[in-house]
Amino acid sequence: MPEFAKMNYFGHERALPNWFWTGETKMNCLSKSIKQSLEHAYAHHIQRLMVTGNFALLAGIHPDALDEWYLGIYIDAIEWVEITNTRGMSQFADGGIVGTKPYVSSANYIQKMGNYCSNCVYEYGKKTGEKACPFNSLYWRFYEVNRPLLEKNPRIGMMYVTLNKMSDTHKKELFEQAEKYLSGIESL
Amino acid sequence: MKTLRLLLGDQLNLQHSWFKQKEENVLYAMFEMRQETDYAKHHIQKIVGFFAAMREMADTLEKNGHKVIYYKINDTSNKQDLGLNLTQLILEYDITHFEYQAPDEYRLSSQLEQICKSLKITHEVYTTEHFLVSQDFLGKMFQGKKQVILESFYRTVRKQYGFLMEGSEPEGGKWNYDHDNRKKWNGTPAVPKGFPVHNEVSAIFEEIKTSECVYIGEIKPSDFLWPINRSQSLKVLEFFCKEALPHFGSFQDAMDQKEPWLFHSRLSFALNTKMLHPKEVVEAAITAYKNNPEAISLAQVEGFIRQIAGWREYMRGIYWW
Ligand code: SF4
Repeated sequence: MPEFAKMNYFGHERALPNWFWTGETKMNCLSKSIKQSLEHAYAHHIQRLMVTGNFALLAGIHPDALDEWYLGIYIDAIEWVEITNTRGMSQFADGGIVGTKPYVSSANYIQKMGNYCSNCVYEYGKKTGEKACPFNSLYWRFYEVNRPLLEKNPRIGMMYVTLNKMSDTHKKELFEQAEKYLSGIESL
Repeated sequence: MKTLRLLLGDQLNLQHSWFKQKEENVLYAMFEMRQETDYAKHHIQKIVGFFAAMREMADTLEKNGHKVIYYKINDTSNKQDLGLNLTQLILEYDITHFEYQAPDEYRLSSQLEQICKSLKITHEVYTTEHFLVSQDFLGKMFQGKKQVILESFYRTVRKQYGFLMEGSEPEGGKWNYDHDNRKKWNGTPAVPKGFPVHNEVSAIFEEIKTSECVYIGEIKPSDFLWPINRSQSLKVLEFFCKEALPHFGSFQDAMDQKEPWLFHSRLSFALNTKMLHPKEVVEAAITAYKNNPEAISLAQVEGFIRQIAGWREYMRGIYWW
């Protein structure tokens, strides 16, 4: 469907950080995945989905900017396969045509499936405070901000049970941490 | 009657029925164009890969006795625009009929429809004969539906082609072995060594630099690691089946900061340019598994087939829905 190219379910507007074009970020998973993409015009599907795509969705990057990036950087990217994977599968910008829920994760998944975290400036186990991995606070912020769109999704409901159980102080810390990271996104 | 047949950069299917016969009155056209290099900021390896593979295809067609007009990126007669190049050739060669294969993108599909409207000659559209699921069948599966579930789509393709089927039942009794396929990789088993494709692409790289098109990314022109013709693509397929498939499924979700390829097939470029057909890719994986079930378990091969016969075809269905 030609409309697919315009879909932006979450209304994301943020510009793509410049380091997407260089890999110059302290977040080791992103740095390595992007540098590898620049070196080989390739990253495998989990790197595309759970590292670059995951971060972009959590940070609320405009899907147009992201499409342009994926379409350009990968040797196999042709619109029919790129846009459905990026906007649909990865960004949930289609509101659930391709997937049934957004593919987001905290540092936990990245740590579990790879070895990036052991060489990272950030600490994957930390949610707030100095050196807390940005994925962790951004993850909870994503669910909080998009509550009206996601809370009723039966595949996500559990996340809100957990989120609702958190103390207000903890939530405040988490969301403040996330906002702080987002406002300094270029130097993450 | 003289026919012009267009081949786009991702239509490098040498097995297409167009090429079964040599025809005196058929002229094939292939263009390296700024309209294609400039619609996004592409990786340099992407531009080099496409141009190199297009040139190889043109050479092979000529060797097989077909007539080919090929515009390189810096050729002076190249207008860098599909419509202008086609109109020019139609005039120059007194073409009376135009044919093309349906593009996979809306962008090119609507551009070609526009071009055909303005042409004074007849035209005909063919399929690329590439995908497992035809446009007609996609129509039947997707039209009027609110949602098409990947799993049922995938099962339909498996049944239709008999991939890993025992009659109407999936081999092994299960359709999906994803649960066996979620392992982290800690350095063992060793990743495959001895990748079979190493191309020298300095000349094309220089031409692209001269053309001043904008690109991103790095390239090692003396050692370009993507296949640029069918026989190289088949070698990558063979390499994958022998060396990587035994562990593909187990580690398909694993990430490693030093090993970009792990056990992945590296076939996406060959497939998306249509140098390889998905059916031959799936069949090669199944044959490898049948010949060596001790080394390649059903879970590995099913995980791979799900990507090619399920996910990839499904994405195309969604795109054209
Ligand atoms: S700690 Fe966070 S940023 Fe660093 S590699 Fe792990 S997931 Fe990525």
